[in-house]
Amino acid sequence: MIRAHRSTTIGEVPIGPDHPRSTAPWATVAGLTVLTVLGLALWLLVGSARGPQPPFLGEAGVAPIRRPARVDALVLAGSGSNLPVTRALTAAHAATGAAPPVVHASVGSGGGLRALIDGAVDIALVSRALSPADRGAGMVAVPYARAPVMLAVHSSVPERDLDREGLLAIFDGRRTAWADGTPIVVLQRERGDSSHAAVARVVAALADVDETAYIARRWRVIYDDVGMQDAIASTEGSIGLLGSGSLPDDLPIRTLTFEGVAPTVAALTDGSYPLYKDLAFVTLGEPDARATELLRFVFSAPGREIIEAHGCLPLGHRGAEAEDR
Amino acid sequence: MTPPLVQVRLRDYLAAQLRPLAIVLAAVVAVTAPTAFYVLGMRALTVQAQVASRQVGDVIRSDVERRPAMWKYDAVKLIEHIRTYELQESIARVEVVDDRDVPIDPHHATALAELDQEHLLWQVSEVLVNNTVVAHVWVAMSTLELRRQAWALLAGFGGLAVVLAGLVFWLPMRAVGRAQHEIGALLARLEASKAELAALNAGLERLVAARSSALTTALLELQEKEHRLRELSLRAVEVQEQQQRSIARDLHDSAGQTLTAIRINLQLVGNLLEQARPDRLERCVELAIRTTALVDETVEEIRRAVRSLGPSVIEDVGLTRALERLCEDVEQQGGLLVETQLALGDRTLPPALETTCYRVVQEGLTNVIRHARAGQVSVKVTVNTDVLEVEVVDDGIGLPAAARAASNAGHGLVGMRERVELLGGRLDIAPESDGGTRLTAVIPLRQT
Repeated sequence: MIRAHRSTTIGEVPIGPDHPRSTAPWATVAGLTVLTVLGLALWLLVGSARGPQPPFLGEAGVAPIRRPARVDALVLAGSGSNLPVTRALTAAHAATGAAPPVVHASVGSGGGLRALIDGAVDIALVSRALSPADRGAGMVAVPYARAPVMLAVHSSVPERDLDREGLLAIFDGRRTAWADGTPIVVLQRERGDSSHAAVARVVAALADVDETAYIARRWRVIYDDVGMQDAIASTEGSIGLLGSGSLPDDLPIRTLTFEGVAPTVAALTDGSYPLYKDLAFVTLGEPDARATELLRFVFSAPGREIIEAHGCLPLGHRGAEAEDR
Repeated sequence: MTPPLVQVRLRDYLAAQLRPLAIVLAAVVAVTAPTAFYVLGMRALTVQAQVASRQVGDVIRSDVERRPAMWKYDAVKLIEHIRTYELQESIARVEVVDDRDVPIDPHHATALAELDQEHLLWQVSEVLVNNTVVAHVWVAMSTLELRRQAWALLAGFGGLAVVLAGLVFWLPMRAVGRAQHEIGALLARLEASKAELAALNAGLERLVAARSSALTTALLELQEKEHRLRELSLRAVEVQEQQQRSIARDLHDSAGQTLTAIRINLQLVGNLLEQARPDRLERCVELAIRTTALVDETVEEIRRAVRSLGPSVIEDVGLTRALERLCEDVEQQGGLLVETQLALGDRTLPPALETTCYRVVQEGLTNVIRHARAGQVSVKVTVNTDVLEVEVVDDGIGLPAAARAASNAGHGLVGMRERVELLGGRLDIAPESDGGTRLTAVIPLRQT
């Protein structure tokens, strides 16, 4: 007799309600596989994100840098704009019989102040105004010269004068060639440079123009005055800002007048040349005896002559205080 | 009876198998590529950071060698320059620390606070001057973009994984669903066919049972008839034997005795006549002698008739002795060497069986004498528990194949076979391997 079954199979595939094959082992294998894949991925993700952690993370404030080995002499370091006239002053002072000080190469105004805090130098050479934080740290600025910020160009440049608009047109790239067709090569100083800051005080739009150029990496950036001199001298059609007050005679560099005024001591004296910055000695607290002796020479007549000889306007303490304010 | 419906559950089964597979596939597809992208991206960032830190370290080393006392104060601008112009955009921060791990940049804390530390990958290299570590350069790579891309990739591959898993699950399910539908229809038809077949099977079984019952009845009837026929045949044989024996006894007792008396009388007449006239008497004697010869021939003929009608010798001396005499007669008359092995025991056999046994041996020996041209013949008769076996084996030329066939055998063989089969036995004639012929008869002792 043929019987009717409630469950049957076709080949190996159960088609009835009571099929014998269970999916539990396969589901378990699949679950373990998924967990393995996810675990492996997590392990790789966590492992790949590991790296050494810097020791300075989470620090508050600035720890002092280890002070360099001191020499038994007055040590000065700071802005490159200060260096030519300062070295001339210290050399003349030493010629009077004083102990010759050590004047380091340019470390910038900020580097000089940091070195002063660390005790690495006795006098910081600064070409910008002190910030309230600097003064809060006990720093005392003694301005001694006002240096013109010169629009320096390569000697091949046919132009003789620039006004504010012309200056902006060059630095923001709207003007790309001199009158004779020579391409204009703008040489820019780094962010926070005192010369650019001095010009931006007069030509306010230059600050934004500079920042735009920094972001766009539009111009070559030079980091000190000596480098700027070399770059201008070796680049035809170049233009840059120099704040040292004088130019070396042996380089193909000259200055442009700004709105018809040349960067001379006379123009600084009568105030007709607006692009300038004040050079100052900064000490931590009141100057010590050696620093006081140097300052006395700087503010002496020979010292003032030397300052003027370097194209700068000699300043007194009173002027410096006014500038700081 | 309505057959139960068969439920086809291929879809459920396949779904249970495919669901884990789809999940595994989705997990693998979704996770593998974004993970590999992220891991390889992190490796690339690590290498970039290491290269950048070494490059900056080279610059710092040059500065330290040039200005060993004041490099730390001038390096800020250098680092700023490097940050701004020399490094890749993916580098989030470069910090230089001195040999005490103090950062050179005084504004580093402010700058670092603006960065998302969670997404920075730092690498460091040493700045060695004269085999002395003077600084370390730390370079941080931002992993934010890499993570964003990895998340985007994860989202994309997650979608792709869902699509692939869906296809892997849905396509076979759709195909199996269609197959399940068709199988369901086929199974429904199969169930209907099963029901029809069951009905046909039941009818067929009833018909077969009826036919089997009828055949069984017919067979029983046939067996009964056969049994009755066998009994009738046996009875007929016995009656025939009894009649033949009665006739033989009558011939032997009456005509034989009479003829013997005549013969004796004729001898007496002849003896008397010899004593009378010789001329006439000589004729009478001769007549008497001739008559006596005729009587002898008649007596012999009667004896042969008696023997042919029924072996009365069996009743006289028993089967064993009758067979021995038969063999002795054949040995004397036929010039054969007859070897006998008779093991009949004490068991009383039915007369028909004894007669048939005797006739088989008699006919077998007769055939040997007539056809076999044999020099020796062996006669073996054995009574076992259930059967009587007769075996006559000669060393003659053997019977022709045609003669062995029952249909072509002589009347004697045909008669023997019929007698044996009437008793439920079997008779075979077969050639011997080394010549001669073997005649075998097997007859059951219990007559049915």
